[in-house]
Amino acid sequence: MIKIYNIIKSLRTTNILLTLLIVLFISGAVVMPSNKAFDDINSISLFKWLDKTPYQASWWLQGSILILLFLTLNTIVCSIESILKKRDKRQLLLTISPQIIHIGFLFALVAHLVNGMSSYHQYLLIQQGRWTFVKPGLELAIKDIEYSGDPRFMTDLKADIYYNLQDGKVYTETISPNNPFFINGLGIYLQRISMYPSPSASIEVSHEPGAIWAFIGALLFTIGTVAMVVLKMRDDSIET
Amino acid sequence: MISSLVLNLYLLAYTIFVLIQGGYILSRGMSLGRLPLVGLHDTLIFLSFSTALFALPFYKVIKKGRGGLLISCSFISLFFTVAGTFSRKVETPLPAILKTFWFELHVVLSFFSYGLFGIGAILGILYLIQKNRELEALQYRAVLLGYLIFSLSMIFGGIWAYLAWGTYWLWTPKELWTVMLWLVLTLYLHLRYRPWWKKGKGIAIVGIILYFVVLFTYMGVGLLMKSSHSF
Repeated sequence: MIKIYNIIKSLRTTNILLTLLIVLFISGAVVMPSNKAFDDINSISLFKWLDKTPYQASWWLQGSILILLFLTLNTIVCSIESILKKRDKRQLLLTISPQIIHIGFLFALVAHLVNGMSSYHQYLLIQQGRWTFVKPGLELAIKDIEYSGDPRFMTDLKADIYYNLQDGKVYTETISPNNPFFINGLGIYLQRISMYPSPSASIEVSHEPGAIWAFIGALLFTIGTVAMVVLKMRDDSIET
Repeated sequence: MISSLVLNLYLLAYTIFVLIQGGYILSRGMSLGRLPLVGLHDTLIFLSFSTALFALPFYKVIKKGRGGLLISCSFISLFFTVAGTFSRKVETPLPAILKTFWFELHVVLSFFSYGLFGIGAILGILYLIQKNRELEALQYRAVLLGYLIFSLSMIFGGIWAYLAWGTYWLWTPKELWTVMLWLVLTLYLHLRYRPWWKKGKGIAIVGIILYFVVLFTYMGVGLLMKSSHSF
């Protein structure tokens, strides 16, 4: 039992797991480009995709998830050990900054897990003036479309949209590339517009419940890394 | 051994080279009305500039091997400059999806980090030749600072992707290689805590190998594979 615990908390285990993950991702980078099974990997949640995809295409991803499970355990145990061993208040920042980095990393994993279970993306072609059903309680219509530049290479574009909710009222909103609007946990994104044969807009409806976890994780990771960099730049001999 | 007069003259020429590159990037940006960060020409020149620029603070700090650092950085920077000069320029206006400061932050920080990883690789090579521990310690600092900046570039890229495409993560070859590079960096930082790696040549070699991963992530993926980052 103690031997297993020592293996779990070991830095050597961390390095082996990271190496295995790198090898699996390299495999994925070789498998992905030429395999049609990956055409819709970004349109549905990851676990749904894994469920329907042959093992010959997805083995490296399934292996990576397994490695990440072990890495999560290793990270948690290592961090707890590290905090328990070094309780000198004078070195508080030194002790906690790597753990803040680790917590940020774990939040990022949670983000992927949450998205992997329940994210989705819907692509709609909505003609100007026509109501389109998105989901129960939400319909969209394009009120107006504007663009600048050549119709074949638009440099700026935006769409004024109507949407109605279950309250029966009609609301308006303007969306453009990089400026979506968010309603009821959904993001409404303008991807493209077309004026031929009739004005229409390609809209993406996106649900990413893991995004907030990713953002918090990124913030914590950054705070921890900045602290580490400041400390280590001053004195590389400082042990964390 | 290079005499200090020759080294100082070389440093002067090098600094002028950096200023000329910076000036070119600025003038190109002003003529385009945006940061020149799209396409091989602009990104290679920016990479050349980043590498040359970040060598200067390390030159100031280093005690032995200054000449080696400066000359190596010159060659690498010059190589990228020449490659960039013969690469196609993108003169068209930016598509709407790229008109956001998140994109600009993402790309600028990426190339700043690549420059630092290049410096780290050079310091690693110099360490293997001269066996001077200071050089390995400086390699570590270069990679650690590059790690922070690279991580930030990934975060800003994720924010941009979320605002542009409704997701902070896309399964494409570029994203996969980016995460791989980040994992190699993480591995480097964790290996260095192991005494066998830190005291020997191993960690310096990892620091050199990761630069080749950087170059493939930057250029190889964009040129050879279809992804959201294709040139």
